[in-house]
Amino acid sequence: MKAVTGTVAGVAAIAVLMATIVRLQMVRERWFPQSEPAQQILYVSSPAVLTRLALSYDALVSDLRASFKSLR
Amino acid sequence: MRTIGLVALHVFRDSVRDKVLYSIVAFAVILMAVSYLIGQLTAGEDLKIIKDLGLAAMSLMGLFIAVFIGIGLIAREIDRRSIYAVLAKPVRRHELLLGKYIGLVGTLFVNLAVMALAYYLVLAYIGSTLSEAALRAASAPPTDPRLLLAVMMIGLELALVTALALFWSTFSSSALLSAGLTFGLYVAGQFGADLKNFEQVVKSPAAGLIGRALYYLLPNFAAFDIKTEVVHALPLQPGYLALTAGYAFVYIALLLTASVMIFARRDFK
Repeated sequence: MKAVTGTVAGVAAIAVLMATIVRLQMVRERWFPQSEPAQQILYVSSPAVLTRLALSYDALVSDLRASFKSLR
Repeated sequence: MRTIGLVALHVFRDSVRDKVLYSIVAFAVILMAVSYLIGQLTAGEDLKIIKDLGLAAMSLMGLFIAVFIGIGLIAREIDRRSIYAVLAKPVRRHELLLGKYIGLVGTLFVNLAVMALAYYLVLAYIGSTLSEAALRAASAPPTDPRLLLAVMMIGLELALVTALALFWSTFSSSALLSAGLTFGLYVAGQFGADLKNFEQVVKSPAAGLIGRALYYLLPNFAAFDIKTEVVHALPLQPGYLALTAGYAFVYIALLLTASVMIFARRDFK
């Protein structure tokens, strides 16, 4: 009986805490809305560095860049 | 309460014995080496880059400590079978779990405090080498006290990551799985805005709804990131910081409650 009561109390506490978490997120969003930049750009001045960073996936990086461009 | 304190002290001593605090030395060496290199490579932006890099290094080092020690707190006791000896003493399971958590968070905070001190020393040194014109042109002074706000937010983020790692380790006997789940949730928590606006990416309302639900349910680690605001001297609302701190405390309470519940029923045979 004691174990069941403990479980019920624990589950209830978790539900209340989760509801508080969601509420806090909502309040923070309403009071302090985060402004999303219209466009995010990262300039890389050296193509050689970018090629090295892409390792052997340079073709994939190139495709991703092309698909992001077409989304705009 | 005294038992929790004793367990926490034991975890702290154990971490020191495991050379966890050596990461501070690694941090200081990396920061000094990079500050010297960046000074040679960049034109005028070295102060900003060192500020960014120092905060990122603190966050990353803390993350690795939180995950890899957090998942081992309980798993190691079970592997070594020392859990039987500990639980045979007048230590309740929830006291052991909370003591372990407080001990690791204490270790992390000591680590973070010393790293912050090293960070300020490097920034003060860089500041002393800059010209008057460069100092005037900088958006914030080299040893800007607001940087401490970012360090505090990193501390809260790490406390949440530790609670998450401890939560997974209470029911998973695989350290690799616990580490993977903790890292996975950490990464997912960094993409909060993408989850929230998921319906703009996919044309399915159901998927959008799931994305939004996950955004509210998963820990939102992106909210703790105030590095850009602090480094670029952008305004920061005290209310935002208070709400984010409250969010962290409530989420930690939830994870610890769930961990205590699971750990209380775990069979160690």
